[in-house]
Amino acid sequence: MPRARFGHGDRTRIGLKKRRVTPAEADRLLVRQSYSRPATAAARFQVGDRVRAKNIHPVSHTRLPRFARGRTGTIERIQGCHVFPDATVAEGVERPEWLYTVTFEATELWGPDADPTVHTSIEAFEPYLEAA
Amino acid sequence: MNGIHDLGGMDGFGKVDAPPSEPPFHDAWEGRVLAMNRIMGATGEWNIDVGRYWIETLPPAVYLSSSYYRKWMLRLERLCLARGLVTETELGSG
Amino acid sequence: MQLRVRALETVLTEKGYVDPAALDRIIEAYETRIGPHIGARVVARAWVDPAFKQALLADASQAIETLGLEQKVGDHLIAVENTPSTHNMIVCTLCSCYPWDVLGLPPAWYKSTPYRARTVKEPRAVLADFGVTLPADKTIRVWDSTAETRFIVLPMRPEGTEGWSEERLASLVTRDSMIGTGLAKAANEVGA
Repeated sequence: MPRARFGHGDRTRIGLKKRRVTPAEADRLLVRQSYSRPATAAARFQVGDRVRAKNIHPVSHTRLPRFARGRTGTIERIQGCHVFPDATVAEGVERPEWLYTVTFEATELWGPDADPTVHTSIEAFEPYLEAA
Repeated sequence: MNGIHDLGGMDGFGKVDAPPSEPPFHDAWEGRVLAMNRIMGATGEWNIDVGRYWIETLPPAVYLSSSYYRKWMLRLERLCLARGLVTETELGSG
Repeated sequence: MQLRVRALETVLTEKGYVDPAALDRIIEAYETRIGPHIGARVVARAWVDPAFKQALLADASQAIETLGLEQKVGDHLIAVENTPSTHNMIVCTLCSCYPWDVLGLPPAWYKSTPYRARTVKEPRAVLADFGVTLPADKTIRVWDSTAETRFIVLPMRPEGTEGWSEERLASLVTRDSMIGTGLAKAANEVGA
């Protein structure tokens, strides 16, 4: 299967022809497509692991919000492998990475005066995380 | 990117204005914008991540002052131009 | 804006990229067929069928598939359950990711800067903007939809609804209750 390339400004399209979506085909676009991909490696983290979101600042596209960077949370759920957005945009390649639900205490994110009853989760790709 | 879109935790935006109900589209053009984005997104010229990035890279002042669908429209125009699908002249004369 | 949008649509149509009838189809689907009534049916079923509820909480996409709904639901949908001790809220701080397949188009407020900025930090203040006050000791779980996972809140079943049909139960399930900015309607809020 040719690797799809979608780089910023990169117009290379492999195996895709210009064609109009017909009204009947439009119905398919009403259902969200899947971004799941087969795993290429074992998941690095398990549910319950303490992890720290890396202090990274990609200049290209990323889905790691600033409020979580450098913060420590807990793996709550393993969401399987999905297309990694950062690589899609920065490198123009589809690369599957493990995706995790990571939960942070409000005090960890917003300081000691934060509401202790609040827990905020993000969906974090494995490259965003390191063991804490 | 550390863009203006990364809003989590920012202060100063005021209350959430949530009317009890609203129509799916406030104006007909919003529906056309949504549908065009959906259809053009399926051509393979860009994918959802690239599409999101092209909204994130709107100048901050434009991002904050544009409605949701206006941002989608600006993104669509920019991407169609960048991919050579339309020209500035064509957009202007429509 | 209207003229500008029309200009783009005209150019894309003339160059063979879009078929306006396909655009019409998508618009019509979101105006008439795909909306929160889908999610409400799912919630109502979860309220009456404990096995379905467990399946829903384990893998919402798969569980909803078993309902055989006309509108298909995509992958990666997670249902999170409100309980007496926990309230859930969904947000997308980075853009506007939303469970379109079961709730339809997101309301403007969901995509607005105040909601996106404040919900992860001060959910109780955001709930106050919606006229919702929760006990001070209740846990609030905020889910930021930063990847392709989509979330739907399973609100608590209102009291006094024993024996209600699924259809009647679904009428209690508001869109906001499935986002977490509201609660399901009380039994006495809807007609017999």
